[in-house]
Amino acid sequence: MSDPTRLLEGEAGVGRSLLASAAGDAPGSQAKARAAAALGLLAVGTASTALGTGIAQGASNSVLAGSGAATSGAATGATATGATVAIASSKGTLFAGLSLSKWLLVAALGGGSTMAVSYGIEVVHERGASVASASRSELAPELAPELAPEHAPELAPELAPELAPELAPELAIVAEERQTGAHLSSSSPPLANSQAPQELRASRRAPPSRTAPLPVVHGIAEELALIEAARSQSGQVALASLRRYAELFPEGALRPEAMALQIETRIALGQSEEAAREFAELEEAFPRSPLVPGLRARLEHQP
Amino acid sequence: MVSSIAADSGIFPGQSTSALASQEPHVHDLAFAECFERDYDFVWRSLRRLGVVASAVDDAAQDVFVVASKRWRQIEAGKERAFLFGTAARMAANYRRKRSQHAPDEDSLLSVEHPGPSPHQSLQAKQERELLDRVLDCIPDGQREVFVLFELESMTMIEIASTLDLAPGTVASRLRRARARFQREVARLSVQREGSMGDV
Repeated sequence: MSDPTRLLEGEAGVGRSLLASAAGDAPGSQAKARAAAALGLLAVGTASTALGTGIAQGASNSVLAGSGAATSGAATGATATGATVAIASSKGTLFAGLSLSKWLLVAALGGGSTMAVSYGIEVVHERGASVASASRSELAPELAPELAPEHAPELAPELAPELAPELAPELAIVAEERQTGAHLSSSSPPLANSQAPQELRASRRAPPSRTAPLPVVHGIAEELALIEAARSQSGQVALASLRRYAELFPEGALRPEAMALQIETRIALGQSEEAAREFAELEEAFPRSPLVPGLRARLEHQP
Repeated sequence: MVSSIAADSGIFPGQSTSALASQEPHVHDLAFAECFERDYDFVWRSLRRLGVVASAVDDAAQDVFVVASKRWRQIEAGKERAFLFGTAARMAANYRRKRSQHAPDEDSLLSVEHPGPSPHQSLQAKQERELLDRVLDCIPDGQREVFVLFELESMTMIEIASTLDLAPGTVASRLRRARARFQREVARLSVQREGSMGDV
């Protein structure tokens, strides 16, 4: 099969000009790094103590929104020796006096250098205390002047004692996870823990857009949460979760993954006929899905 | 080489005794991290040209790799890019569908603002990209994917056939129809531009 000449190599014209314009469209210099960090693929920082953990406490101010809604999340990142977990959790209205504040993440852990790797988190070392502040570009662009990283050290001494009691539960959770290796370990793959995607998304809030909704973010997060729930279950319980997914997201972006998981669950339950029927549906709906060959092989090897 | 990430990942955490536990994992020639490094830009560009707006594309690209990381051991070795593109295409389609529910349906280029002359080259390039995306929006999904991979990603038709798991003849057919649609929309755009300049 000989390929035709590409339009970009053809005669000059409006079409070629439009196609050429795409060449200038590329990821921002930080987008890839943020994604890598969020996926746990990026080691950031130069030192890690025995604690090796940066706990970030996020405070949400709802003065403007008046909602007082709290959101929480965690982002994970691998370090040279293991993994560092930073939990960003907003607790309410800790900084009600800031008329424009929306997010502020403060990590307070003493004892030497601590590294926190997380999406949208910047770690500032100041006299043994680490302050992680929300990336101005990602979490609160409008807060840049007020909550720029350079202000974090100034805020840390005042905020750390106040936040300490509130940090305790998160500290305990992370410490327990680290001890049990439930959350991340040096051998853990990125996002291996079932908590990771939800936490990832919760922490990885897109910049609030005044012009365009971001349906992809919210939809995918919800879809992933449901599928993750099903993955952590088995048998009929998992099937029930997957039915719920199908009801809520009949045309979801992760539908092939949900269908594949359902088929695998059927196989595990010995429901070969149902598995075969659902595989046929998957194959018809997504014939080119890379999930198809593996599932077909599994079905063919069923007794 | 078995991916160190994939080897330990457990696609379905917490379901170690499930069907997956007995499933033979695919052996990948590259680690997930290498796949990310190699294909991130490709995924990002694909999402953009498949209709995800700039303000959402960073998150969408990350989402694609989140899904890939969860399914890594089940992705057929050598089909990593196919999986990534397929996931990106579904996300983009989903995104466009949701966006259309929030915005008036603009099916033609008639509503596109004409990029006037600008002293800033970057602004002109941005306007041209917006027009390109509008033109691409006029191409049906399947044809658009082939068009993007061939014209913008410089993939060969054989590579596209493999990536999209299509017959070579289907790729050729889709590319032919996509090009015809693209040229038609560009011609309309040119006419509009000329008309706009004539009005001035």
